[in-house]
Amino acid sequence: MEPDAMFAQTLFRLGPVVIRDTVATTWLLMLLLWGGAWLVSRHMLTRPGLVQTAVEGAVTAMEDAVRQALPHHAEMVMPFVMTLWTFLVAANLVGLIPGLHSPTRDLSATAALAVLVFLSVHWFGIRAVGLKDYLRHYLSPTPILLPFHIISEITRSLALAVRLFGNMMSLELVALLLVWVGGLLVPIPILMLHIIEALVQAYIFGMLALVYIAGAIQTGALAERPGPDTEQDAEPQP
Amino acid sequence: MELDWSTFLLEIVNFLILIWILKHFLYRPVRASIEARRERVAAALEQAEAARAEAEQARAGLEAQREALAQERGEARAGLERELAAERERRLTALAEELEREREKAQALAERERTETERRTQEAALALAGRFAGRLLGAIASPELEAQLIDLVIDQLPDLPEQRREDLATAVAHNDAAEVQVQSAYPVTEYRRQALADALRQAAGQDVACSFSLEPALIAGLSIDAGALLLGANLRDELRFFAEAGQ
Repeated sequence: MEPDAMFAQTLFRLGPVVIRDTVATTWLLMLLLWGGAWLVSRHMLTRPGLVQTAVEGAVTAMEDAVRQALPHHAEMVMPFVMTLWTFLVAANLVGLIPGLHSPTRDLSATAALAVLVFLSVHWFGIRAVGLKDYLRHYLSPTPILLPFHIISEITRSLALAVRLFGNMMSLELVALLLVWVGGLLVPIPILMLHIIEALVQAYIFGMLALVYIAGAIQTGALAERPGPDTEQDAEPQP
Repeated sequence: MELDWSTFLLEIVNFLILIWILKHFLYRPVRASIEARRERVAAALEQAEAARAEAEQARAGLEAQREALAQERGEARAGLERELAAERERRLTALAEELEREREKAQALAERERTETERRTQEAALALAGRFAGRLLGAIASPELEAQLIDLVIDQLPDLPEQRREDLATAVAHNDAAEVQVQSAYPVTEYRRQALADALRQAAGQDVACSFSLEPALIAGLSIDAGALLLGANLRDELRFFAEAGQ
């Protein structure tokens, strides 16, 4: 394996658009997920089989997690957060297949996801409580904290991108170094760690996105209608 | 490791497309399936609940019916007990009345038997006394006793009641034999014959002819036959009267 293989490689160009293996792998994953979803949802059985049970269990678990954080806005947020978890699990684990690399070991992909989370926080916050009330929470409890709010929004999104990129990049880098140093089968324990780390990082990324969105909706709701007897969503547990 | 804007933008577009794909091809069908299953389970639970409620209602109905039957049975039993008590009371009353009647009948029967026994005893006693008196008087009968009886008649004839006097007079007047038959167990002296005729004439208020004859069956004393009237002053008639008076 060449050292350059650790980083995203340009496959071809379409004018100004550069197509790298990250995007190609993402398209492959999209196709696989689409096909898998189509196969699973084509014949939903009353008495589900093993695959249907696993899929229903995964969807139900993700739905329950979202409903715990946002009981009143779960339907609105659910597709975004569940897609984050699904895509990140697939993207993090696809690096285990020889010849393929995780899209999340590319900072451009993780930055794109972080920017999506950043934008979705505001999007869902504004949809939940309205633009005026949502923006008002940046001025609470005092307008002096506005710069800190903005810095916090940027840095946590940046942290999201760098955390996922750094972890996935380091996993592949360690596996590559072990192959170089120890041989072909030596990095297998590290690959086991790769599985765990891929699942953990997907969970962390999606859960943090959910927490950020829930925080935006709740703080906007508090700014809209302050008081101890609010019926809005509960304080999210990260 | 540098940030590639094409990859960045394409990843954003890819992810947005993936959201649409998964929402329409995975989340929505899976959630619909789960929801349908939940509805089926809820319907089954509701049906089970309805069946349970129906069973509960049926059980309550049966319980109420059982209680009604128990109450009806109790009422029937109470009614039967009342009827039995009334019937027992009625039968006891009838039995008491019948016993009373039987007791009265037994008392009457016993009284009658006692009276009959007393009568028989009395008759037997009188018969025995009559026989005893007959033997005794027979043993002590004598002309002297007869003379005393004749004297007693002669003394009592003037003291006869007025009705007896009239009867004697009527009998003497209508006597076809024209004389009074006087029987005695022993021969009567002439003196006593004359005294007796005088006493009869004085009692009847007219002349009376007397003829005397013997009749030993009289034991002692005499019998005066005036036709329609018979006067007796002898032991045989007295004993007979004694025996008849006892009966």
